[in-house]
Amino acid sequence: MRDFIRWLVNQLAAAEEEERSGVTAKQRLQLVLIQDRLDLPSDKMEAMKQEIWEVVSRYLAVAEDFLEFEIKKLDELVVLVSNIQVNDASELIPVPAPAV
Amino acid sequence: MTGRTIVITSGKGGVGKTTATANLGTALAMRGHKVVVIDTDIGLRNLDVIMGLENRIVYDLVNVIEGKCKMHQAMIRDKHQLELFLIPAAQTRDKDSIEPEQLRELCEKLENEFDYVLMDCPAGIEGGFKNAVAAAKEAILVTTPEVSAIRDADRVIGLLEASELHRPKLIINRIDTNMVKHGDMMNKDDIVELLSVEVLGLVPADEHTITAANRGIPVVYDKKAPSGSAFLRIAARVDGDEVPFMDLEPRFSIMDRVKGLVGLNGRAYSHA
Repeated sequence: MRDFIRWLVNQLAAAEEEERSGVTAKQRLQLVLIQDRLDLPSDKMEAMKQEIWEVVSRYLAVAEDFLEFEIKKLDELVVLVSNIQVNDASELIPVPAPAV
Repeated sequence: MTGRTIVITSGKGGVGKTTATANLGTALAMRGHKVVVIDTDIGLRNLDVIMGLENRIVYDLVNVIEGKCKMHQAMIRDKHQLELFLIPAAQTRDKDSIEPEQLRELCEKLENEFDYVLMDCPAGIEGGFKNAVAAAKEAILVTTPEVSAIRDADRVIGLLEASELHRPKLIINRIDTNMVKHGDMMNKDDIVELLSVEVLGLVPADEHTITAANRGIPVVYDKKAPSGSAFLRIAARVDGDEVPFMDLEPRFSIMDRVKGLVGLNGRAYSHA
């Protein structure tokens, strides 16, 4: 009987741990609807990403690609999140030495 | 008299537009209104079979618009409601047989005779949808709590806005209360948050809608059918009555009580 109760509790706990599919559905839809409403085709999105990279790379030595580049929901706001790795100081573009 | 012309639409097919139109039309007629329902799904007509009127069709919507018959000749009187009429779609024609302007003119004529002109819109967002939307002054959107239906509904809301049909009202159809309770189906609040529209009604998943369709008798006549009473309440809201939403939440089961006892029932289920 004690084994059975332990089994039952484990079963219930396992069922609770997995995210319910209704929650997953809502989260997925939130992202899909943002994309749909923006009406921004993927080629335009790609062009914007490229331009932003070019601008940033003029000032900083940065990795070849973004770690993250997406439009998503942050609380009530729709935001563009872009993360790019800045290479360490030794790799920074050298500042020209002042003329002696 | 100036009637209200309302399009029942969804984007995605198979979510229950025709069932909603038949039941809403019947329920409004039961409330004493003069109602005409128009099947605008040319080439794929179905409203006639759902209402059990398929054997009475002589003329159809395209015949009226092309002037092959008088408006009244294409209006089939319902079997049960004396003030309910159906204008069926043409079955052997395609969606380009009519122009938006022609359907709008027809609806304007009907508004002079009827309290409600309901249009069952075809699925999709092409010609047939555009015809029905152009003729309508109000819109009712039908969805189910599924990702594909909700995504399409959102797209349709945008298109309705573009056609000056603002603030469409939403019917959420085929809600499985047990799945909602277990967190495996989005609830009313989730869907409202996603679509930002006003909810007109919640219809539970109900086998009675299938048996009613089999018989060609709208489910609003079945007093035991939960979906039927949901449609009666929706009709009352369309009519301007304040009707509280049905409690679709099933009683807590023994399993929930066990979980509660062992402290595992932390999630709050709120819906309907």
